Amino acid sequence: MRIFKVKKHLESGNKRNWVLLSSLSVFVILIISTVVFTIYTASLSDRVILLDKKELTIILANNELNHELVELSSLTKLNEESNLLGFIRSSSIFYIKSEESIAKLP
Amino acid sequence: MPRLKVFTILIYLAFALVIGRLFYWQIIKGDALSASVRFQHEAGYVISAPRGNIKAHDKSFLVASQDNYLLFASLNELSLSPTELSNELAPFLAEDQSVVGIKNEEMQIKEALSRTGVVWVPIKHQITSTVKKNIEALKIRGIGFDPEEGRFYPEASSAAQLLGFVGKNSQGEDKGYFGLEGYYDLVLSGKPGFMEREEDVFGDPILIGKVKEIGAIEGVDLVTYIDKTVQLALDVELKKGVEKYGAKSGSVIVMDPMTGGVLGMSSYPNYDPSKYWEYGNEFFLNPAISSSFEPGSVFKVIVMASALDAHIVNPDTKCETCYGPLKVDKYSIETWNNVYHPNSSMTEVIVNSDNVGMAFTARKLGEERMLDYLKKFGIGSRTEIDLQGESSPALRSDKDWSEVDLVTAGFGQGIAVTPIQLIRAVGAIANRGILMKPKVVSELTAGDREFAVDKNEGVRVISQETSSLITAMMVEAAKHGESKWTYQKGFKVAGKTGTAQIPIAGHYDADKTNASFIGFAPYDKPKFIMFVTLQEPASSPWASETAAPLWYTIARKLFLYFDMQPEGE
Repeated sequence: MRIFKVKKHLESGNKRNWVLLSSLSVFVILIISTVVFTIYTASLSDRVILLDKKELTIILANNELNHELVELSSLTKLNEESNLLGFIRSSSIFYIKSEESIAKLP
Repeated sequence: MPRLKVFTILIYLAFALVIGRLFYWQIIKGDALSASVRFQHEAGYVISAPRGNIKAHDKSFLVASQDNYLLFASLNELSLSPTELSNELAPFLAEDQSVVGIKNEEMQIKEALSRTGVVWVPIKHQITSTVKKNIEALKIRGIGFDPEEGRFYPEASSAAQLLGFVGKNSQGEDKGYFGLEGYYDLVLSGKPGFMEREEDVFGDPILIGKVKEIGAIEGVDLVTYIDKTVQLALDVELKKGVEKYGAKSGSVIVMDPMTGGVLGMSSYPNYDPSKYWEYGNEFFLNPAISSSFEPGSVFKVIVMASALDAHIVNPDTKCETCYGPLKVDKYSIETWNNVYHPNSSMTEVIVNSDNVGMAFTARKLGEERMLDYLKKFGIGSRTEIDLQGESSPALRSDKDWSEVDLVTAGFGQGIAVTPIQLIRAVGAIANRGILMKPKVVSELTAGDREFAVDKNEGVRVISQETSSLITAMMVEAAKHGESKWTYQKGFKVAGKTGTAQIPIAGHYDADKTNASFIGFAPYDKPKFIMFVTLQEPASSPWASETAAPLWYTIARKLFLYFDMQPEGE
């Protein structure tokens, strides 16, 4: 009878230890996962900021290229530059009939 | 044992107190506390919606959106004195790069920096990214840049009155004024978005925090019928023409009569829309759509077309009153050169620009029919062109027409029109009798999507046969009329000059005139119709010596551009 009581006592002690160990493990896992998750989200946040900055840089670069394109497509500037390079409009235009032969060999 | 009980009760009480306190702070005062610290961790940003661009018919840019900046100074953080800073910045910011210009800029910067009771001062708005980069390279502490949207005009002041400009409204927001910017302000503006998010102490976003975002809707691009080559030719030649003929001002419109699409519209003097604040209000109105004038002889083709369409006359009808001046009431109607052509045909009346002949035609047409046709041609009502600032001189009310009014309207006096009304009306003759609504914008584009603007169906005002008859008369007028010396042989031009006296305080000014020429080519399948008008030309009062040669100077460029070959006539 006494042996049975001692055994029972030992069993209940093991059970308590087991519960304590399990709770502790869960608690440790919880803490570790919280830390890991926090670090992970912090690093994600950092990546988002980096991407935001990259996006802004690309948008600004794109806008600048667009502006350059618009500036270069200016006919007024092209006219001015062609004049500076010595191109001039012909003052008199000669229209030729399509069937007219020019310098045709006999 | 009682001690243990007391201790247990105290523990419970302490616990209840903590719970109660937590309940108070978190549940009862939670919202208020949260609100009071919200500004520390919540930030809101306006997501800008770039204004739409305005493009020519080939999708090249007439107006483009551009990133500009506001240069500001935080006075507490400045590393330089106001004098030193203004000396450093002025060479980059002065528009006038002369010594005086730079000195003026220095003064302005110094004045801005010397403001008291403020820590932040704006120094200059709308500076370009190139200027920003140059200033950043100076590495001056205490100055910074805020982005602000700007407009870039690659063709400078070309078509300024047609495009309009972007200014500020009373709330300090961007707003389009006049022309296309004013008319399409709502679609060009887009709708700014807003983002609210939680941020950490460094201003970086907290990913698991609250985020609210309303996306921005970008402004829509306008694609116009404007042809840059045509537009620039108009700008250059009109300026030269106004200077050459000593005119006060001038306007030119080129339109495709088949579609009503405006290919070019220019007025001189004009203004630079990127520096609109340097000009007076009188520069902003577009005379081509807002200035009314008595058209004179160019109006004869409309009255003659009405009479032909009503079968009152035909091209061979003889004028029975063309032998001399015509007495109407107390007025005497004379020809422009006091030369009279008895029994001239209606074609000759148009060719000779005969006022007496037109008085005869107007009388035959009668008041009721004349008014009916004028209204059909759109005289007295707005064309509803898609430009802000259009006006329309009212047509005299039906019961107020006298015999003299009827007769003088026959040759374009005592009646007022705007250039756009006139080109629209004569455009109906060029378009086989169908009146089109003038349009500047052909489609709206948003990203890859394109939306055509409402379809321009047109309304028939005269029969096709009448349009052929009046066109033939205009061809004869161009070939043999008073401007025949400037006629360009072989290009199938139908045209008419108009010299109108200017009414001032109830009478006509004896010296001042408005000179106009309207014409289209080729007359059998018109590629363009063009109207040229010069106000008070000093070199000659006659349109045949001012507006007509200017019309042909521009037309010669257009003949080449539209691949028109001369044909034997």
